[in-house]
Amino acid sequence: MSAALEVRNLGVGYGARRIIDRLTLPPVVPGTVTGLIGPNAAGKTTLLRALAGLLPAEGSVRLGEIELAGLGPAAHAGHVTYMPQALPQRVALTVLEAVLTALMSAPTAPAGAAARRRAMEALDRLGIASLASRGLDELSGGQRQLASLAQCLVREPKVLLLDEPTSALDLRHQLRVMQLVDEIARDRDIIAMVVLHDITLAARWCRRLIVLAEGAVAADGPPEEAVTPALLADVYGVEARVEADTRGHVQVMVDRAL
Amino acid sequence: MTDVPSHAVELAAYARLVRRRLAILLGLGGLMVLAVLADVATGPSNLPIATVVHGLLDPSGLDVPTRVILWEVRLPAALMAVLVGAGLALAGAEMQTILNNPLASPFTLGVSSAAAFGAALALVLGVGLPGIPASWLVPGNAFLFAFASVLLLQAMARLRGTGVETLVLFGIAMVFTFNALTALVQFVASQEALQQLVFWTMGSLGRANWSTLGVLALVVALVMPFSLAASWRLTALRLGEDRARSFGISVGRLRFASLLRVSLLAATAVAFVGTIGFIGLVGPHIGRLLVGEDHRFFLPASVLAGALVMSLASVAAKLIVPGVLLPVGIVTALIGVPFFLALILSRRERIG
Ligand SMILES: Nc1ncnc2c1ncn2[C@@H]1O[C@H](COP(=O)(O)OP(=O)(O)OP(=O)(O)O)[C@@H](O)[C@H]1O
Ligand SMILES: [Mg+2]
Repeated sequence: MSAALEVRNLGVGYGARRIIDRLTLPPVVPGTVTGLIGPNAAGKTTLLRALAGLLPAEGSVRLGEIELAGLGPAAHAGHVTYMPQALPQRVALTVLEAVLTALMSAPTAPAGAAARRRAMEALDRLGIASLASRGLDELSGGQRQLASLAQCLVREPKVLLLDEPTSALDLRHQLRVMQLVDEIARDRDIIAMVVLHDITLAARWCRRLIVLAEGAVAADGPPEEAVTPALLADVYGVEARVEADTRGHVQVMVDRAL
Repeated sequence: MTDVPSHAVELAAYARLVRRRLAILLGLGGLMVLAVLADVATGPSNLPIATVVHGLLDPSGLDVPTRVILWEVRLPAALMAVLVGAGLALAGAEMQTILNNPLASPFTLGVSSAAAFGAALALVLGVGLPGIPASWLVPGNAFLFAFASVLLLQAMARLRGTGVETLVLFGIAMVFTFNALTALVQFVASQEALQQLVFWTMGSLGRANWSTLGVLALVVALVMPFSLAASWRLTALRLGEDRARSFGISVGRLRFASLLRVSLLAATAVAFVGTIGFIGLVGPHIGRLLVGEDHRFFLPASVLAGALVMSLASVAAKLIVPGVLLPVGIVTALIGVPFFLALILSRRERIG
């Protein structure tokens, strides 16, 4: 059993402005996908960036016995990988090069041949091996998002933090990505936290949903418990029905904005 | 069909890409050598290429005047062109990456303006560091101001957090400040000093000699390995700052180290030959068009492209008006722009 991620009294802000104050989460366990949902500006990205060590934060973030808060960038990145919400910019690099860069720019880079093999494997798992020699500057938004995800997967982290990995993807790729993240979380027994806006998709793939509103946890638990009409009204300001479909998955039907 | 895909096709394609880029680098290097030979051969008294090659391999076989022309005048200037082009292009390439701005060059951040101000102080007011021999007063001052301007920039950026936009804005503020200060010095300058200053700001290779050449060569040789060692990290930075940091790169430190290299290169180059525009901007763009942005190839390609264009500019400076050596700073853009346009247009065709 790998280590769980524990967040205690986390405080994050930009300058003098606090976004997240004294946030404590029950341990996030490895092996399954944890969803992070919430309205715009709730602080999802801020939380993920703090967990990834990209923002200075107070409080404690522990991965098992290891205290992540205060680790240097190199040591931190050895445990945690973060996929930014923004798509990679249009750079004159091929997809394979971009994924290779994720491996080779790290302080402990593998040998060239091994790195190339791992990079191709990551592309293959996402079904974009055929894009390997296409330039990032000639890809569609969704293709770039897949390349960006490949950069994260190839690093084989213990904690995978994905900020809206499906925002630019079509239906099939959304499913494929979520399925893959679920598989990887299970196979490698790692922690996977995924920010999503599509609650139905989140409920379908995540064993646990954390709902964030105004920097605080509004609900936390299995999808069928966390997502309720009252919560949707309260947090998102919408009138909605939450029903189980014939297969037992949570479906959210939004009737109107309140 | 095997169960585990071996990706032989994709990996072979990548190996071909790498080989093609190495070939491009070799090609650029070859062109550069030819340009240097042409540069040495052209001048008021034309030396045939054969004599040049001969004289370079076996100097004792030449008569004294030819040997002096070749070894004391032409060769230092030609090599200076190459080194200045290489240095400025490398500085520009690193700057465009760390500032995430394709318009960045040693000019954008006021490095050249600061150097010009330092030179102006020395030329017009005779102000300089005590203890420096008179012949090194102008380059010494230019270097000092250029280098200090980058340190100042870095210090100011530290105060406000390391935002890239802030850095660029401070740089632009610096350009205007130093330009104004230089204008002020010009205003009080004597006719003769003013003329010298104007000539200095146009950039000239005529001042090159073996000792200035040695200093610049040393700087380029010292800086380049560090740039190349950082090439993967610089490539990662091109993919976005958050992304690079999540790979474990300390972006603040990378940026600072890079700025130090940039300031050393730009300050030394500008100090010896005066302000030379365009190379620091166009060298990296040519490099990018030819080999993409994997910095292991992009940085050397920029260096070679910068050196090549500068060398060609040096040839053109002697040929455009027969018998007159134009300041090379004027010519760089004239020779660089067509080269650059041709590349952009040929690339457009391939995509469209
Ligand atoms: N770089 C920044 N500087 C200052 N404030 C910021 C910055 N980034 C985000 N914020 C503020 O932090 C708050 C939370 O933003 P965050 O990006 O974490 O939201 P989010 O939940 O990811 O939203 P979205 O769903 O739109 O991505 C917002 O009020 C935002 O204005
Ligand atoms: Mg966000």
